[in-house]
Amino acid sequence: MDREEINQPASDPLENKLRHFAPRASGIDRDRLMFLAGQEAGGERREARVTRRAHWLWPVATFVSSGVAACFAIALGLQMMQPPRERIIVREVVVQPQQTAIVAQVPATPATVPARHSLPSPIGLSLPAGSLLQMRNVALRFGVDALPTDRTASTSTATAPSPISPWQQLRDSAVDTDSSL
Amino acid sequence: MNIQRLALVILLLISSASQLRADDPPPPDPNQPQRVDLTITAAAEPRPALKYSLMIGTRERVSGNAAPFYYRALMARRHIPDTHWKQFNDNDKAWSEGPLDEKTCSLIKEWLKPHGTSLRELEAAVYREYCDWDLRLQDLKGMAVIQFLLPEMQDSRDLARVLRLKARVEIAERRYGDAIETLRWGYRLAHDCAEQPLLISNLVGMAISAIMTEELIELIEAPGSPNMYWAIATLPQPLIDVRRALEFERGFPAQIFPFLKDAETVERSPQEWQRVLEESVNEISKLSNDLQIANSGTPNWLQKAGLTLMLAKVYPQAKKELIADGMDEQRVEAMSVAQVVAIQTARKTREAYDDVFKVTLLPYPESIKMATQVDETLKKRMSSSVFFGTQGLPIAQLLMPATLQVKRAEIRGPRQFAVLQAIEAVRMHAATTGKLPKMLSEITVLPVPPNPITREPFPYQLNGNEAVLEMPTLPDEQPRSNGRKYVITLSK
Repeated sequence: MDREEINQPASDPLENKLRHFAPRASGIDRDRLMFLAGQEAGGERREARVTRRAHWLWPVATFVSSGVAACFAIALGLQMMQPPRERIIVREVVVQPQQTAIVAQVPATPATVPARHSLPSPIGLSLPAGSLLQMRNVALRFGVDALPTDRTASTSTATAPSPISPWQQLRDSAVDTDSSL
Repeated sequence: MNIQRLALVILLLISSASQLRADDPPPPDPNQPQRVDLTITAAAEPRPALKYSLMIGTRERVSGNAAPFYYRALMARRHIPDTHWKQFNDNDKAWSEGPLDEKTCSLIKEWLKPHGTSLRELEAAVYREYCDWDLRLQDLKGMAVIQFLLPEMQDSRDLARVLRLKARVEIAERRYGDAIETLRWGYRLAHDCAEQPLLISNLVGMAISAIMTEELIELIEAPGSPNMYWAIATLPQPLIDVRRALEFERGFPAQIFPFLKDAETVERSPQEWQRVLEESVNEISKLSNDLQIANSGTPNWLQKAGLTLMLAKVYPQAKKELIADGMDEQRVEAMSVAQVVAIQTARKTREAYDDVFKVTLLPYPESIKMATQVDETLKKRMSSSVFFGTQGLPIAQLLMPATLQVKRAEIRGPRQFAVLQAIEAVRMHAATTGKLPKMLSEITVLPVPPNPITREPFPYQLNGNEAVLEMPTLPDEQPRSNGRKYVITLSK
């Protein structure tokens, strides 16, 4: 728009009406408005209340957790100071007789061995019950009387193969078998 | 009046009840040496001095092997039914303890009759020149070593019980010559059981010897019995020598796990070494309830993973130790993981067994002292390193006997014989002087043997007409009742 054109009297009705507006200073204090807006946005009062609570929360939590940790430490210490408790676990061990060719001709040992024969070896490892080494360890620890006896496997439980049983023969032929008796 | 009577009855009942209780002998305290009351008679040296012998001499024996006759004796024993043995079990206390009266003697003799065949075969066995059980245990391989059964050893103890009763009857009937003959059979049986080169057989032999020694004590106490000082001296000392069995059992690891023999010399590919170790770990799992990395239900991949984990854990330490022991570092680096672990296992197993065996090469006092140290060292070294430590695979832990217990078992026999010789020396002294000695050093007719464990004289004290001779236990020996306190009085 040219300068000349601006200085021309207003011909437009809108322009005429606008020309009647008188300039006046604003009634709003901008600085105060900004302050209040900031205060409202920050929620200062609520924050003040929360800060006061948080101030106690962390020390209390720290104190409680430290107390619990101390209790656990004391309990652990007491447990370590106590002598180890011996646990005796009784297990029934069924031994499947596995005979070698050499022992195949003799009656088998009892199939079930009492649980006390499954005791640990002298250095702490246990062997299968009834094994040669396990029996050795039992005999070393408790004496040979602790070994299982074999009387149950005697021929008394078997059927006699002939009308005259070996027992009968022994009993009948016992006279003077031992001169000292 | 009635109240007084009632009170009197109550008092009588209480006193008789307490009397009944007092009549029951108190059970032996396992924490105290066992008290044995001996009423002995003076007994001079037999003439000739070696008239009696507890060992069957070489010239008395006939040629041949004793083992088949022992088996025949045991077979005859097996034909005797349980009902017959039940009679023994029912009367065990009455027949085995205290003096035998005529009626009990008859009962025992009746019970012994069916054992005549056994005893006849046993007599044939004990008079044979040698005893070779010929088990060829050294030819067994793998698990067959562990699974080997020894029923003859179990049954031998029954033969010893029969011999004990036979000797008791003979002593009760004052047939001392027969009783000594029975004891000779028993000691020979004990000795021959230990001809099997196994610790368990040695322990059975020791038990049989102990059964016979109970009767020997009874014989010594019997009125008018001959002096047994020299008869005891004829027995080999020790009667059962565990050294041979321990040496034989040293070979068990290599018999069960053959890779131990040639771990350092044989050439195997890494895959082969891996397979060898896998097999060994599986065998260990079968042997031990505590070391089951895997069982039959475990998938193959999981077993392999377990083995790999175990090898990874053991390998660094094993490698480090092999290099530290002087093996060429480059050679060790070039080996597979399984080979390194195998070599380490072989070395450590051998070391552990040698530590145990060397103890048996020393005389008793030094041997017992060293056995205590070795036992402690092995326990410390092994308990903390089962499978995951410096020992490689835990073969020694699994198979090795407890050194200390073996040595303690071995020394009981010689200690007992020495104390009985001391008692016989006292009887001989009494035959000369008519009284008990004030101290053992007073005895000059014979040398009084010292305690073979300590080489010190047995503690002896004379209090009036009663002498106390102690057979002390080792400081840490259990049970304490293994010790004996012989309270000796001299019968006029």
